Amino acid sequence: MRIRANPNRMQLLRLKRRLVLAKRGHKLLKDKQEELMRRFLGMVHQARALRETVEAELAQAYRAFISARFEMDAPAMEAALASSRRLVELHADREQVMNLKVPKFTVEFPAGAEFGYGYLETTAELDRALELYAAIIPHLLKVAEMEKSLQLIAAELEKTRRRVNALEHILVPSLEETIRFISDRLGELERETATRLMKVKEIVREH
Amino acid sequence: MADDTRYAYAVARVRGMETGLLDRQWLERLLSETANGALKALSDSAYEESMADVGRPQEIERGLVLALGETLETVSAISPVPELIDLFRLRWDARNLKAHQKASFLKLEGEIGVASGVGTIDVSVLEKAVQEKDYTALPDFLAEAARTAEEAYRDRGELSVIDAVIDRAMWKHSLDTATGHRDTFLRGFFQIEIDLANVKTFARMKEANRDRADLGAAFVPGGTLELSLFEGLLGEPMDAFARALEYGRYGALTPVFREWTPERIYTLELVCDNVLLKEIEKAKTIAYGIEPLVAFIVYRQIEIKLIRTAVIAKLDGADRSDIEARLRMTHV
Amino acid sequence: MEGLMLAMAGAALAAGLAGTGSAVGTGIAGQAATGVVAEDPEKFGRLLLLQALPGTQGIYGIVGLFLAIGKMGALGMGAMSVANGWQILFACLPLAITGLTSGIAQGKVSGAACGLVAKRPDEMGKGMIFAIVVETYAVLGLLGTILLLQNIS
Repeated sequence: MRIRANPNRMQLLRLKRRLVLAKRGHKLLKDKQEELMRRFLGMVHQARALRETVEAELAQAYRAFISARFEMDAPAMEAALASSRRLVELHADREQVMNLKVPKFTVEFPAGAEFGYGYLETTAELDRALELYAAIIPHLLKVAEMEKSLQLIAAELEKTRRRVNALEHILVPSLEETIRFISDRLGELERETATRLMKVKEIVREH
Repeated sequence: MADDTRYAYAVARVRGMETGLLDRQWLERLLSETANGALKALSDSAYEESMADVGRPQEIERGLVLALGETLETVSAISPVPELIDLFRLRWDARNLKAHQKASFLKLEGEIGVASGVGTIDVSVLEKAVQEKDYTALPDFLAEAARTAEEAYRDRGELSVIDAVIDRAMWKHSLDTATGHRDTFLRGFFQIEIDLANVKTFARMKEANRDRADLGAAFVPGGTLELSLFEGLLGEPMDAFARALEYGRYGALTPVFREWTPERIYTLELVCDNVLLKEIEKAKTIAYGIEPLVAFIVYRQIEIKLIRTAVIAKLDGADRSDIEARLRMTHV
Repeated sequence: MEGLMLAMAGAALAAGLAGTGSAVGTGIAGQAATGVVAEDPEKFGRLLLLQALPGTQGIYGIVGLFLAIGKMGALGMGAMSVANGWQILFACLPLAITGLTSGIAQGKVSGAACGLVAKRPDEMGKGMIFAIVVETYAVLGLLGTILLLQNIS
């Protein structure tokens, strides 16, 4: 696709400069795309593995919880869950990945956490279920962190890919085509001028 | 104990009611049905009345609590010494009191964890007492415990002190009442219950790496196993605890502690219930006394656990073998 | 007159104590039976039989009383010697004592049998046999009294 441009030397120079710029940009974007891809692929495996572990852990905790339910009557369970408290300190931060800001969570369990229920109407299995759930929280946050990062990276990757493609398949070829057209045109003009001069010379010589 | 012929009527009625306990055949039906089918099966059993307004298996808990309340009330009403049977209902009063107190300290709305229709005191009376901090409507020992619990919570800010104070007061009252009536069986039975509770607490403390102070706070005095026994074993491996129990009256518990794994914690509840069942098995030979009444209550409690397990497991899609692994010895 | 007085005391003891045994015994069995009927009214007929079992001691007591009176008549009532009076009094004791104890004991067994009927209605026969074993000793007591009375002269 040719860019509309007056075929003159000024244009040619400008277009050539643009071409160089476009090629350099393309190379840079291509590098960025590769880097993003590398990170994405690295994280995707990690995230999938983590998600699988967390899901298995959740299933285990759920099983423990159900099995606690077997032995405890509903009011006791309700009371135990309503009164057991656990403090969780969550710090949400951002981390720079290339030009992106991805979330970064850190969790802490300050001491003084308590199961505020009595030992008589609750069972050891409830302790276990709640412990399991509490242990999952950091993992769960890690999964959330990774999956959000992956989403952001994927979006950025897509954007970069579109830019690279635009440069590679549209801008660069059309610049090159236009440059070729203009230089062809200029060459033709030159040849035209040369012929015209030769013709003029011949006429002058005949007289 | 000499025959206490005052119990002639009550024991005979309990014998009649025992025919309504779920037998093997019934259990088989419960296990092979779906959750809905199980609910339906329950409504043509002794649970008919309590299940009357339970429409979905998810709501079965309400019916089960009602059924237990009804059983306790009936047994208490036919007993010549209702205050002894009422000790079993008193536990629910204590629980309801704790639930109300905690809800009020945590500023929670609504009746959370309160079971109505099981205790001797109406839950609204308890609620009012807790809200207005006027416990005069409660039995003396419970009122005293409620005040102590309130103060202790204000001092320490930990909810667990409420449990510790009220549970201890409840057990002390139970033991004292049984002693006051010279009922050696009931006293012994409560002591076993206390021992088992302490054994479970110990196992949980150990599992959670709690220290002696925590153990001492949750320990219920009055049983046959002393606090010092538990304290000494808190730092030892679980196997040492198994050895300590091995040749005593709780020898049946040793296998659980010998093969202690988190996945098999549930067996602790199981064997503890079996110890209780074994204890009340003597009730079969006693025709005049409180034993058959207590036995009936224990059977019902265990039966209710069994129904709950079956229905929840079915709703959750658990295998039949999961349910069967949790069955206790039954009365049949 | 003193002889007659002693004899009457014996007869009264036989009837009174055996009757008390029956009263207490049927009382216990009756409570138990009521408990069972409260759960299942259809068992009334069978339970009535079980309740009635400890009632026999009272009847034996009355039989003993009549026999003692008969003996008193034979010995000339008011003309009876003090020794005869003592004899009749002692003769009445087996019935009085076994009547009292077996009546209560049988009541307890019957009551327990009511529990058995409540749980396993088909086993009622066995429950009755257990109760009837106790009856044997009331019968033996009566027999002892009869034999003793016959040997007074």
